[in-house]
Amino acid sequence: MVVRRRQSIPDQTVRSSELTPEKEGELSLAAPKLGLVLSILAMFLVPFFYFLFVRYRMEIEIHLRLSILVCVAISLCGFVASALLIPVAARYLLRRNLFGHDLNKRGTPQGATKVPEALGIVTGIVFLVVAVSVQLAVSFLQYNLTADSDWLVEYNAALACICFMILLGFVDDVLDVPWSVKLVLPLFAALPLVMAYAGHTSIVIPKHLVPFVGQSVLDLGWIYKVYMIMLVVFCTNSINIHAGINGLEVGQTVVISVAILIFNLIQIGASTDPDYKKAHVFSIYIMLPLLTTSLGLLAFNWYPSSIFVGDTYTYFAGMAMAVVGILGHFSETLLLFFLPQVLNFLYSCPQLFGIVPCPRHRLPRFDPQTGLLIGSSDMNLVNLFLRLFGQCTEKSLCIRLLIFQAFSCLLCFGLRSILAGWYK
Amino acid sequence: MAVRRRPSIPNQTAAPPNPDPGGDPQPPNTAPSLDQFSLAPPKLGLILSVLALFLIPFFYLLFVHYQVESDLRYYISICVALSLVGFVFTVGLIPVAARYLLRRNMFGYDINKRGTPQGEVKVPETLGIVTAIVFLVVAIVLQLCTLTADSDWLVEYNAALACICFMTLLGFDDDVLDVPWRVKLALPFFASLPLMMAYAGHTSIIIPKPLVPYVGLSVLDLGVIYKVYMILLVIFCTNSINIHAGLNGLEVGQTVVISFAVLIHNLMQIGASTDIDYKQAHAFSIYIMWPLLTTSLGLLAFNWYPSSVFVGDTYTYFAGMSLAVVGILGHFSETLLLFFLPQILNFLYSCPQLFGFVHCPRHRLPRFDTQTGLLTGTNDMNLVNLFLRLFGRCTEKSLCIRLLIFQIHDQKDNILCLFAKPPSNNLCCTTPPPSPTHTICFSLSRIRRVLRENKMSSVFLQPKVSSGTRLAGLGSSYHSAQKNALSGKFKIQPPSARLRVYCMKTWSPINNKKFETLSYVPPLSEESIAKELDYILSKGWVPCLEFDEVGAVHRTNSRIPGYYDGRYWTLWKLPMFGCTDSAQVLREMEECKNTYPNAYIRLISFDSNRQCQCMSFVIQKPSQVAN
Repeated sequence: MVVRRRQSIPDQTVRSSELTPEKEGELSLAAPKLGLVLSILAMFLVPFFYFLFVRYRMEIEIHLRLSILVCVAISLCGFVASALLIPVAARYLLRRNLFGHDLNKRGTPQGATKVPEALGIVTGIVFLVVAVSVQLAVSFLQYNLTADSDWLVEYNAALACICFMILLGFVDDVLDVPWSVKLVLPLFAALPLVMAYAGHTSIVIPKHLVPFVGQSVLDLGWIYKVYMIMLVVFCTNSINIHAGINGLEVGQTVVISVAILIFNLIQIGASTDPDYKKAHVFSIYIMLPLLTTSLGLLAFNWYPSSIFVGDTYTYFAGMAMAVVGILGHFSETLLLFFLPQVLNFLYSCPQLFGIVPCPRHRLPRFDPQTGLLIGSSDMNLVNLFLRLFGQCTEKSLCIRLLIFQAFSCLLCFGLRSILAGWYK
Repeated sequence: MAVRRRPSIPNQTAAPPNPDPGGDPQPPNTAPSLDQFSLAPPKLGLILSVLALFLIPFFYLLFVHYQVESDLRYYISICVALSLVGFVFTVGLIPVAARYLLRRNMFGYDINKRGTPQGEVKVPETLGIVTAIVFLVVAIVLQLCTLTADSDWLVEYNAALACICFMTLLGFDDDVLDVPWRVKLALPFFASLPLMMAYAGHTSIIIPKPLVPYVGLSVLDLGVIYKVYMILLVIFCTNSINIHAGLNGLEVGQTVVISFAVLIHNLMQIGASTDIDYKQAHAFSIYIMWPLLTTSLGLLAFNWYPSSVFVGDTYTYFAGMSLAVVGILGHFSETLLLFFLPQILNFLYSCPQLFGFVHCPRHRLPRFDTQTGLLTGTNDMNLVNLFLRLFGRCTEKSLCIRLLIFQIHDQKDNILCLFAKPPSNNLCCTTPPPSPTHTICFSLSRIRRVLRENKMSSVFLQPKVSSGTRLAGLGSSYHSAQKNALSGKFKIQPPSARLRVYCMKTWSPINNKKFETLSYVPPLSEESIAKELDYILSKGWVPCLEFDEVGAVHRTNSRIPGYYDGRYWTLWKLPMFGCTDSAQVLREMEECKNTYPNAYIRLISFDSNRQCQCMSFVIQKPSQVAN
C-alpha cells in the first residue's frame, strides 16, 4: 500500500530522459534470486512430503495422495510460469508507466531506478490458470469428470471471489481508487463465498465458560456469516497494511501459506471424518498454487526488489487465504496465523481512524550514509521493530519480521495442541 | 478493437505540457486536467426510451401473456429492479471513472473523426471496467436474492461469475498492457474451463432425419467433443464482438440487441415449457442477462454517437463471455449462435485478413471525409466496410444504426426460424413442447405454436414448411384456421423433446421376471446406476441393498391366507445412513454381487422424512435369467 511513490502522470523531466536511449536497454530486470527461492521451496517440500508419505502413510487415502501430488506438480509448473512471465510483464508495465521508486533507497542510485509495479497481476493470473487446471485434474482423477456439485460450488465460489479481488486490486493499482471504495468492494467479493459456505455456523464455547453461557455449543446463525465477511475484509486489507519493505508482502504470504499447508496435512492425517478431510484437501488445492506462484514473485521481489507487487498481490493473497480459511472451516486457526497482522492492525488503529495524524507513507527513515533504516514514530509493526531492536538494514528488518511471523505460526500450532483438551 | 489510436507512450504532442515538473506530481497535474475535463452529458433520453421499449414487451410477456409461476415472476421482478439500480450506478460512476482513467493517460482519439475538432478530444478509454464491476456486484447481490444455499444452480452461478470475472480481468489487462494477440487467444480457453466443469447438461445432438440412414443413429452423443465445442464457442463469442467493432456505439449496441433477444427468447421458453429444469435454465439466463442489458445501456448512454467514452477490450470480452456463459449453461448454445449471425458473417468475411492471406492493416476502419463528414468504405474485409460499399457512404451514426438494424432483423428472423424449424432440420434438441392453454395474442407466438404442433404431429403442413421457408411471409388468417383445426385434433401433449425422436423398446418379458419400473428397460449400466445413486443422495434419501435367491413370492412354508414367502428380501448390511458418496454404495454393490452372484439384488432408498421407500430397482439378476 505505501511502499512507493507513484508516477501518476509522467512529467516533463521523466519523459525527456526516457524518450529514446534507455527504452530497451534498461528493461532488463535483475536476475531472480532463484537460489533463495528454490531452497525455501525445498525446505517446505521436505516436511510436506514427510507428512504426506511417511508420517501419515496409513491415514491418507491413496487417491487423495495422488490428487495432492498432481496438485504439487501443476503448482510447480505455475512457479516456472510465473518466474518466466514476470520479466515479460514488467516490460509491458513499464511501457504503460506503471512503475514506482523505492522510497527506502532514496538517495542511493538504486532509489532512482524505475521499478515496475503491480506485478501481482502475473501471479494472480498464473494462480487462476493453475487453480482451474487443478480443478480439472482433480475432478478427472477423483470424480471422473462428473460434476460433484458440493465440491464444485465451493471451488467455483473460491475462484470467483479471488478473481474478483484480483480485478479490483489491479483496477486500484492502475487507477488509484479512493479508499472508501476499496473497503466496500471486498464486501461484495465475499458474498459468493458466504453463499457457498455450507458448514456449521456455531462456535464451541470453551469448557470453563459453559456454566456462564448455559450452552456448550452456540449457534450464531447469520452473525457467523457477518463474521466471515469481516474476516475477508480484514484478511484482504491486513496484508496490504503490513507492508512497505522489500519482500515483506510476499514473504508473509509464503510463511502463512506454508503454515496452512502443514496444518492441513496434519488435520487430514489426524481425522477420520471424510467431510473434514475434504475441506482440508480443498484448502491444499488452493494454497499450493498460491505458495508456488508467490515464490515465483518473491524471486524478483526479495531485497533488493527489481519489481513491486502492488495492491493486486496483497488483495489477491489475502483473499485466497481468507477463502481457504472459511471454506476449509478453520477460520479461527487462520486468525492465529495472522497474529502479526492482527497486532499491526490494532497498533495502527489510532492512525487509521484518524485519531493520530497519518502521513501518506508510514515508512521508516532511510539513512543513505549507513544504509540503515531508522524507525519513525508512525504506529505500525515495521517501525515498532526498528524502535525496539535498533536500526538495521532493510533486508534484515524484513527477515526479522518474517521470523516473527513464523514464530506466531509455530505458536499457533503449539496453542492448538495445548488448548485442544482444555478448549473443547 | 480498432476504434482508437492509443498513445501508448505519451509523447510530447499527445499530453499537453504540464506546468510542474519534479516534486510530487500528483496535485498540480491533476488539477488542470480535472478542470478542463467534463464528459458530455449522457444521452439518457435515447437510452430510457430504448429501455422502456424493451420493458413493455418483457413485462407483457411475463405478466399477461404467459402463465409463469408466481415465485418465478417475483424473482424476475427482483432481478429487473436490481438491474435498474445497476443502470443508475453505471451512469453515475462512468464520469467518475473517466476522470481516473484520463489521469492515468488511458485515452484515445476517435479515428473516425480525424480532421475535425472532435477528433482532437481525448476520449477516456476502457470504461467497460465500470460496467463489468457494476455487473458483477449486481450479479452477486442477485445470487443472494434468488438462490438458496442448497440450490443446484449455485455451481453454475459461481462458475459463470468466475468465468466472467476472469475474462473481465484479462480484458482490462489487455487494455492496460496491450497484450500480444496469441496470449489473448489462449487465455479465454482457461477462463472457459470452470464453465465446462460446471456444465451438467446433455452432450448429445439430434441427427437431422434425412441423415439418420447415413449416420446410423438418431441421437449422437458427442461426449468430450461437445465440451470442446463449448470451449470454442466461448472463444468465438469473446472475440467476435471484439472484431465487429470500430464505430461509436457498435460494440455496446450489438450487445444490447443480442441480450434483448436472449431475454425474450428465455421468457418465451419459460412460458412455453412445463419442465421445471428447463425453466430454471432459462431463468438463470435471465438473471445474468438483465444486469448485462442494463449496465450496457448505462454505458451506451455515453458511448452512443458522438462517443464521450470508449469501451475498450474489457467490455467486448466481458460482454462476449457473459453471452457465451448463458448460452452454454442455459443449454441454448445453438440458438445463441443464430443470434450471433452478423458476428459470424463478419468473422468469416474477415478470415482472409485475420489469418494473413490478405494484408491486414492495424485498424480496419472506413475512411473519413472531413469535408462531408461521411465515411467511405475501404477494401478491408469486415462487415462495417462491406455495408459502406454496398449501401453507399453515410455518417458514422447512421452506419451504426444500419448495422444494429441488421442485427435486430437477424434476431427477429432467428426467433421466428427457430420456432418454425420443421423436424427435418431440427438440430436444436432443446425446444420444449407447447402448452396449449394460453390465449394466442400476437403473430409470433401464433406462428410458433402452430408450427410446433405440426412438428410434433409431423404429418400436417410439413411439405409447406420445408427448411428455409420464410415464415414471416405466411398469412395469419391461414394460421388461425390451422390452429383451430389443430387444437381440436391434438389435445395430447407430447411428453418431451427427447422422447419425440427416440423411443426405447421395452425389455422382453419372456423368460424374465418383471420387477419394479426399471425392469422394463435393458439392465442398467454401472454409469446409469451411479446416476440414479447421485439422484438418491441429492434427495437426502438413504440407500440400501437387498438380495433374494428366488426373487418372487412363493408359498412354500405355509398356505394360510395372506401368507407369502419372499415378500421381504434379505438386507445386505445395514442401510447406508449418512452416506454422501455414490462411490461407497457402488463399492458395496460390487461386494454384494461378488458374495451372491446367483441372487437378485435390488437397490432401495428410504426417505427419512416421509418415512417411506422412494425408489427400488433391481441391479442384478441371476446370470441364467439375464441371458
